[in-house]
Amino acid sequence: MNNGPKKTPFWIDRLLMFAALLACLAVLLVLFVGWQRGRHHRHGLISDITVNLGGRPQREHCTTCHPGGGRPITAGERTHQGHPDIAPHSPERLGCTGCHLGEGMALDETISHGLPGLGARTVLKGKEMQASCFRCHEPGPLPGAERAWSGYRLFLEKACDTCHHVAGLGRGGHFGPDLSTIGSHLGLAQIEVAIREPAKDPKNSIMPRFPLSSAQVAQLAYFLKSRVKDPYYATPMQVQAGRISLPALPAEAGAGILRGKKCLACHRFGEEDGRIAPDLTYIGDLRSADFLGEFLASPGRLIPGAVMPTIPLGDEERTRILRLLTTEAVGPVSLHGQVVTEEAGHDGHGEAADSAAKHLYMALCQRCHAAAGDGFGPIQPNLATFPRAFAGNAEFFRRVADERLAGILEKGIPGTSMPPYGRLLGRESRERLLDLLFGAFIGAPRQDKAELPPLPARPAVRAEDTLFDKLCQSCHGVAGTGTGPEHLKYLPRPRNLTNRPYFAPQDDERIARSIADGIPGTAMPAFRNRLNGEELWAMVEKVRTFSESR
Amino acid sequence: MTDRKTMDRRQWLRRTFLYGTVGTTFAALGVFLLDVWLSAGRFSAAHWTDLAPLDLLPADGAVPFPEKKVALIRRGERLAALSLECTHLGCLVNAVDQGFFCPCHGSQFGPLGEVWSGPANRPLPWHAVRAREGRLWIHTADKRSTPDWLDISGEQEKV
Repeated sequence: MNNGPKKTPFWIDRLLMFAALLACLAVLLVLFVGWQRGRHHRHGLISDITVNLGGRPQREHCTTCHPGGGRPITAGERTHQGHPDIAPHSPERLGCTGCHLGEGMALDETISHGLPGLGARTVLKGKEMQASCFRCHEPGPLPGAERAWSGYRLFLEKACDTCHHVAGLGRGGHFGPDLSTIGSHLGLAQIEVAIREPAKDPKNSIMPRFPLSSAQVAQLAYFLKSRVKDPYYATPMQVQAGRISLPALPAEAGAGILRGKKCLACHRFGEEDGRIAPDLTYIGDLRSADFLGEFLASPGRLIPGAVMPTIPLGDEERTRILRLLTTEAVGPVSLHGQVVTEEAGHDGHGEAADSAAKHLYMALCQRCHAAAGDGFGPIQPNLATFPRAFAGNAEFFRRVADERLAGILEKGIPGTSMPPYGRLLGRESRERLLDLLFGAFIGAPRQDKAELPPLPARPAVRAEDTLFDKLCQSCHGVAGTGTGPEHLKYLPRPRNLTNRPYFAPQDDERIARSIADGIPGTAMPAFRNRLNGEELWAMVEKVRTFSESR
Repeated sequence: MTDRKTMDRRQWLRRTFLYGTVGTTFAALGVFLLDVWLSAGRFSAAHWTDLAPLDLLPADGAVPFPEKKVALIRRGERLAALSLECTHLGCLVNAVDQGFFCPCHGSQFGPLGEVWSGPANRPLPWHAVRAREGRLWIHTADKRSTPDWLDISGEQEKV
């Protein structure tokens, strides 16, 4: 064998040279193709215009590629298209970017048509132009801006202003982000996505998905896109003096207080349905007037985590709403006559009784617990707690005593959206409803209950809990609010341990049982093998501390 | 041996003149700098600002002042000012029943601004507070990680 240094073959150098040449050619080819395909102005001149837009000079290069204001010249075309007739506006005097947005001073097609990303300056064209009308014109019924104007009407009609503030309305909640300058931050497409899929970003958004057609979403987006930092129709002095206001819409003649106060934008009452929030038709038969009054004053106090904002109401309006809900609409009214007659017409046996129970389920339970019984009812995403799934959740129901189930149906679950049905439904129809749940969804006999091992004895001395941060915090959160770093992974969501109304009526054994044996059908695991008796009861104390329910 | 002995009149004059000129120049520069330094404070956003009259404050709890991005926290006779600027991206945080809630990305803060959940990872900071002539003042830029409790029991007697 030859042990000397290996001799490099003579062709290696040439091969490398050839490869380098090929790479060079490839780069040049890519550059050439890019240059060919990109729309370039061949004459090498840059058109530079400056227009005076409401006292603000606006300088732009748009007419370099769009000389007549229309489509750009392409190779081989000798004439260019002009701007469509937009009288009484004159494109020469208004310039381009005032309405079309984009980056007027950019020298490259991509950048001058608005940088991607949040798309605040993305070029508007065609129908989208309506999104610019109310940048210069005061919002109002303006010919040509019908869609943007309907967007504003929708904004009020769907009660967007109860959560979102918009400058000029003089009211508006701060429950949601301020939308006064949203048009300067987001593009049309981004606004549409935010309305259509609120939970896309951020993931923990509590904004409901409103049932809007895509045309309605577009209208709302046109209106919101025109909410900009520096509208042309308002001078800084007018803004400061508070003289710029969005027009108030006249109240609809004959609309009830529920429509007038926008309750029906989310809730259902009778035939009208907002498809976001619970049904108020029977609410006077379910909840007491005191509960309703307190809930209206501060929804989150009685049902922690409720997404309903506090609605500003005058005393007189509050009284009218309460009177409507608790007296006028209660009892065998024609609205829920169907339920009542179905119930009264049968003696509680046979097929007819079964169909009455099904009817009850569809009228009262389906909205949250879903027609399929899996808990994914139409309004489930907007509820503070996930409605218990019936279907495929037999293990959970095998652990719950029958008396407790009957009690829940009669008295409701405090601190959640589950109302008491004791007044609306008689004992017999409640029993039939339970039978229906077990027969149709749960799929286990009602009497079949699981035997769980006994809980460890409670120590005489209260121990300080040391394990919550280690075992529970990732789901239930440092403060027990049920919003730990991992809470979005699970549905049903981790229980909010600060829910005082929920925990106050529970006895310690039940809390200890949930910790020791877990809760089937949820992500809550059994901690029986990881905690000794002392630690388990210390954990119960911790829950009591969070919920301030001792 | 010493300089003084060997120094003649001209040398002394020259040195005194030199030292005097240099000293005056530096002194003048110093005065200019001091003036710039002092007036810079006048134009910066960092200053004491009037928040509310002391006698109108409610007894307990949190009073938000959204336009100043601050909430007054009262615990008996003690007061502190909590910043309402979310430590995540600076949105205005809302006062809710259990503490504070940021509408932009859902951060939750406890009643004393401690982080409970959400993208924010630092607690809300506290403003420096002081009472002057029956009114409460906060410093807009002097933010601290611990509450600057102000005991107002004595102040209210004066008013």
